[in-house]
Amino acid sequence: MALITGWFASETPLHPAAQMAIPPIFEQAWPGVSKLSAEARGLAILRNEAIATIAGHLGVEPDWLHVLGETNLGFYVGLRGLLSPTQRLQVSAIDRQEILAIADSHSDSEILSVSHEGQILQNPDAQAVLSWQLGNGETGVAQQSAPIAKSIFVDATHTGARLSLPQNWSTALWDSRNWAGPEGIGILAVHPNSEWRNPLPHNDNRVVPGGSSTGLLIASALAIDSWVADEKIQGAMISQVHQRIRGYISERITDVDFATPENPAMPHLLSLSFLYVDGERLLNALLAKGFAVDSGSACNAANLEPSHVLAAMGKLTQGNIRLTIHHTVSPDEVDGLLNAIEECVAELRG
Amino acid sequence: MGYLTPLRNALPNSVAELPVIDSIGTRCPQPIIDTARFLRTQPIGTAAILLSDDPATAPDILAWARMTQNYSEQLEPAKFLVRKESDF
Repeated sequence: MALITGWFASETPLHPAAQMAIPPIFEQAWPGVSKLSAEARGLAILRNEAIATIAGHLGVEPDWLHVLGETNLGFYVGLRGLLSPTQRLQVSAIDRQEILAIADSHSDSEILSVSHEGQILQNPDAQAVLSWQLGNGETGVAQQSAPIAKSIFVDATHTGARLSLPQNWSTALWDSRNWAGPEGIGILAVHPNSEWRNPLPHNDNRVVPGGSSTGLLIASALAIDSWVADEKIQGAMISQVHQRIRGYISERITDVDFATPENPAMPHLLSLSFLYVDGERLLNALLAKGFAVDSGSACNAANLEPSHVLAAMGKLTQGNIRLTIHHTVSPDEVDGLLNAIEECVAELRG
Repeated sequence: MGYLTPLRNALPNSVAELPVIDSIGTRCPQPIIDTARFLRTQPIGTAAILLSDDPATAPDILAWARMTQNYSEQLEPAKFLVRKESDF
């Protein structure tokens, strides 16, 4: 296996600011935060500060946040908690599988179809509960119109601190990994004016029965502070890299279908498909040259179905690669990637 | 796409006489490659039936038609009508 010299896969290493802080945090972060010892009270203060920091970057009040140790549980708690058994649920065809699974288990649900650009085509139902994807994690697409619904669950698990909530949101979910924070920290916000009820069995005011790691939460707060600072400096560079990759490939390679529209809301993502190419072989060929990318293709035995996002957008699902442009990207890495893509696609097309 | 109307009106009888591209059992992108290989050797206007049971073929044959300016239509779960409308 070649040494990876270019990392364009979706995972982000834990931010150095969080990495360095983890050993000292975990030295302190062992007491229960509700206990009365001086150590516990000190930790409770740190925990509250961490929540306030994260809330500030996400544009919500600290009191509205609940920290989840299992991010994906937040889809159920956040969305199902808005929904009465007889109410209509609307989701989009490019929503995450977790959302589609909730729609599947609800009696009155509707999957809204999308255009080639990923924009929802149907008129919203103002009386329904809506699942609103703030940004699509495969293509970087965000909706251009504002959501209309009785209650709105916002899936911000792919956007992090990049995009702000629509004004009329009811509940919202983020994943700490979006700001180079640790895995295992989900942030659920419940607006005080929403009609949210905890859908899980409960006999106190905790949203989920399990706790979350205070140490990881503090690390996540340090990560979001640093990530936002990085984004201010590097955001424009990421858009330029996006344009450069797009321009180079459009010029040099034929029969390419860009799933990511021009000037996407999240330019750190670029999803594109090469006609007549096997996505898994392309992934492996790039890996052999030292470049890690992701794919939404279904050309491997483990995954028969192609990406539902690409299929719903009417985009080519074969020969797909998804590039994630990280803050740490270098011009050399991009040059190497572009050469590697050009060579690999030519080889695989034969 | 005006000349498609008579073709579509003639379905399904004419389908039986169309050449068949049998890609049953192959995985993406093979069914699309098979289709392109066959149609490239044919004159514009040639229609054919693609047989493919790969779940990626339904979205991909539509995307292929859009990208290469040809025509495709799903007739049955594993059966597609394709028609060459451009030299691609």
